[in-house]
Amino acid sequence: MTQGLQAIVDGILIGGVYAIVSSGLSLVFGIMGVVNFAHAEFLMVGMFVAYFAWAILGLDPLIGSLIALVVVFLAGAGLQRTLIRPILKAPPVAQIFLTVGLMFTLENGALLLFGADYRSVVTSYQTESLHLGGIIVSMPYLFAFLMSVISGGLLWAFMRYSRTGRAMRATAQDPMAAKLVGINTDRMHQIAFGLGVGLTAFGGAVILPYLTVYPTVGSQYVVLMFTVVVLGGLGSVAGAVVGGLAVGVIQALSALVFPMQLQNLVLFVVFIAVLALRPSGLLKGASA
Amino acid sequence: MSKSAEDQRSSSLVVSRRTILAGTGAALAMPFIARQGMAAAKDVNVGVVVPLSGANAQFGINSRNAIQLVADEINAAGGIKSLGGAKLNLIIADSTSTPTTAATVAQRMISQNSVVAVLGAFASSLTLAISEVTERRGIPLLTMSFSDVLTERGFKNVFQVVSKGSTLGRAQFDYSVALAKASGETIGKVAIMYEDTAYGTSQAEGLRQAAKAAGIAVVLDEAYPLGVTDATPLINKLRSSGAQLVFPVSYLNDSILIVRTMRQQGLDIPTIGGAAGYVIPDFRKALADLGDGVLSISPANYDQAPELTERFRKRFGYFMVHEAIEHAALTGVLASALENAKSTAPDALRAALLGATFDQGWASVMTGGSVRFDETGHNKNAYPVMVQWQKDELVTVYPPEAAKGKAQWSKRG
Amino acid sequence: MSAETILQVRGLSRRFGGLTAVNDVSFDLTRGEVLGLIGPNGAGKTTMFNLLVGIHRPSSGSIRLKGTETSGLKPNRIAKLGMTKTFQNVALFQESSVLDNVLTGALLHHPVAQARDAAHEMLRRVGLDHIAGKLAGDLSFPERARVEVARALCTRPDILLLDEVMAALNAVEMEEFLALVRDLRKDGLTIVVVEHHMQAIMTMCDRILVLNFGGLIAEGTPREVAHHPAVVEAYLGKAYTGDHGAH
Ligand SMILES: Nc1ncnc2c1ncn2[C@@H]1O[C@H](COP(=O)(O)OP(=O)(O)O)[C@@H](O)[C@H]1O
Ligand SMILES: [Mg+2]
Repeated sequence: MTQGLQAIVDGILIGGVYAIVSSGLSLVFGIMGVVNFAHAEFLMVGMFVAYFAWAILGLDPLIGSLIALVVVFLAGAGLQRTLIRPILKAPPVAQIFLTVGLMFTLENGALLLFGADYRSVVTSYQTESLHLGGIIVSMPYLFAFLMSVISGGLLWAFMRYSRTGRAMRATAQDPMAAKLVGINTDRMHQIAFGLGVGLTAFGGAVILPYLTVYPTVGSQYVVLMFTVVVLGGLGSVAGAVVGGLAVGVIQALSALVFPMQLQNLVLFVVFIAVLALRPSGLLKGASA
Repeated sequence: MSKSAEDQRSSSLVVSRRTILAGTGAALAMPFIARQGMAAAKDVNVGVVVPLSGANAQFGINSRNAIQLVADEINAAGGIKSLGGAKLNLIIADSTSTPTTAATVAQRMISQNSVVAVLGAFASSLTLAISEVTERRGIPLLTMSFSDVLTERGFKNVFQVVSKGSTLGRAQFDYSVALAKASGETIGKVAIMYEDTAYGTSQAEGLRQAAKAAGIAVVLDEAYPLGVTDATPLINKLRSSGAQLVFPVSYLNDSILIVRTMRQQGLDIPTIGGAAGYVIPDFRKALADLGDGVLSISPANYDQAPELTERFRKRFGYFMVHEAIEHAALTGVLASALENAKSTAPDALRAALLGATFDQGWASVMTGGSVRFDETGHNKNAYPVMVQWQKDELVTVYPPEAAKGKAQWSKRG
Repeated sequence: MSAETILQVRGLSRRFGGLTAVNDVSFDLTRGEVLGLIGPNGAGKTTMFNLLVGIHRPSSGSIRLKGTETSGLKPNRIAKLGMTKTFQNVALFQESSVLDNVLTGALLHHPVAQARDAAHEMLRRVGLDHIAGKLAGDLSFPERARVEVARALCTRPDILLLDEVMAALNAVEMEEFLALVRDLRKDGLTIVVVEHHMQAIMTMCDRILVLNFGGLIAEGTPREVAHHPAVVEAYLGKAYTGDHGAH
């Protein structure tokens, strides 16, 4: 009983982070229609930014995450302009080649720059936890979760109420009509891509206190991120939140019953079941 | 339980990606097989194949540093005297993380550089691949890889300087029980956690056998995928298993996650790591004080021969990690064998390697103070030691004849 | 007459491969007028609109909006300069509410504080304020067309191009729509309409251009155009063989 509850708490805490890193991927797909295979690499980039902010400036990764967000947002906007924009109208194959190429470039670039070392930060709350009844809530997980919830809330409000957010949603729904009401859709794509990779980088930074960063860390997340967005419905940011929480809880619960090694197997079984029964994701399937 | 199709599919996905990466790396690295100056006619070419890129690069770099250090010292002292002062000329190549690449570069240095022996390649899977090549060409392969298989296939040209994986696993277990007993604790329940590739699996097997022999219950026996990103479920299981101590067999990333998550949950049963991730400076750097008191089994430790290993620290700025120690020992052994053989012919060299006890210079840096290969090519004199993080140093605490400090058993490690 | 020329089109052509969809068309638009653009299906009316608002680039020719050359500019730039259009098959933000559709336009062209009022005002004018909260994708075709008009109006255009918005309207709705056009015109808006409903065109427009095979074949008041031989021929479905210099 306690064990089950503990697993659910753990799953929700980690699922919140899955949600925020995956919502970036969803945003990019939803607004630009590009499946960005390099997306998980920006998680790695965000982790490195936060790591160096800690190592050089002494900033806690939770603060470093804001730097990661800004730096990667700008880098992403620049990348969109130089690399992604030219292939927006290209066939999907060209887009796959480009983003997969970008993935290898980022990964190997990081290997070249930083070496293959595992790096991690030391923070005061790293080994703290709250004991609520029989339930243990790890502080670094809790902080990462709270940061994700806050940024997720801000993202939601931004997309819903701000002028730019509305313009981005309009661009996603009908780019031509968006242009005719005066929206600079190129600019919206640029912001969407920057924001998408920036959010994922932010997510990478907030989990740094309980993880290690190394050039290939993105590859540990790529399948997971795609599972989350497909579960939630491709392109839906709200769906990514539901998908993220679902994945976190499924992983935690299945680890109770099965060996750790099968954790992802259970996830994929659920994933396939959802694809078969509700092909457009948990949210869409429920409302349709 | 057998792996299902989905599971295999997902892992093959990762593997194929790694393979592509490694392949690319190999293609890039190929033209850069390093040559240390032009070999004069009498110089002796020695092949070094270690991972210099990819996930294991740090270990490969440590190994290369040690080999370099020893070769430089030998050359400065006049080279191989029986060969007219021939210098050791290192031919260094990147094995990457791919066995086929490792085998290819070894093949290449044998045919193009006429190396007299090959040193490498840290990871057992890579060494196994290289050993096929060296066996075919009759060139000695000197290694510090753990895998039992290396010297159990009847190969004539493999020389393994360290204790085998299963020996390490058994020692990890037996030493721990002995240390607990010495501080008045009786161990009845233990937990084993291991990463699910060759290294973790074989060492876990040694632990399991030792537990069985000692009649001690293994209350948690759990493999986890190498790239694990969240150790919480694992530690939840550990906590509810009621184990009195835990044996995690992990690389660096997972060892950090495991120790940190245990501390978060206030779980402070003794942690006795299985070498790899637990005995390198980065472990301590990443965990800071959290790492203090953590124990680990190790095939060698630098405090066994400080007069030698301090030279490494002086030159490279960090303590001499075990793979460096073992590669240094191998380089020293190779130099002595060449000296004794008075020839670079493979047969003469093999005979020289098999015959003698090597206890001079760097050959004495291993546990036991000497190296002696039995007919299978395994170093009979090697035995594992138990080390503990005490402040910033790794202190040998067991067995008594090797101990340099007292084990702090009750410490949370 | 001191009427201001708000739009000047000269020698405008657009080719799609071997097909010339708009062929060397020139005309002027006077501020405040309602201009009809008619012609058989495939004549190039929609293409003409797309050229004006920047969806297509002209193959040759020039477009000057309030004195500014706009050919080659992006649609969003042209919208900001004061010219936009509605789509023949209606393009709404389907997953947003009616109000959000209109508000998206309003926010870009009004101070934030006034955008919401402006959006409601435009919805009122097209008679849809009572369903402001409904999802755009759930509306009927005529309703959607009106949302699109309201959204376009929220960009505060000087010139509004309406591409067959009256298709599928019933008699009552059509009356309402004609009233709306009269209303807008009173406010000084310049409007170009593409319609097939001849009676509506005749009552609504000050002037009519007739396109056929991409070329301008007639121009004039509704009465003049209705009796133009080339137009009669084109609309009677006879093979049009006359030279393009007929007008
Ligand atoms: N994007 C396009 N590519 C190729 N041909 C087009 C394109 N748009 C329109 N056309 C062609 O141009 C001609 C004019 O079409 P259109 O302007 O839609 O006519 P209308 O609106 O008068 O019915 C038609 O033959 C049409 O097939
Ligand atoms: Mg048309």
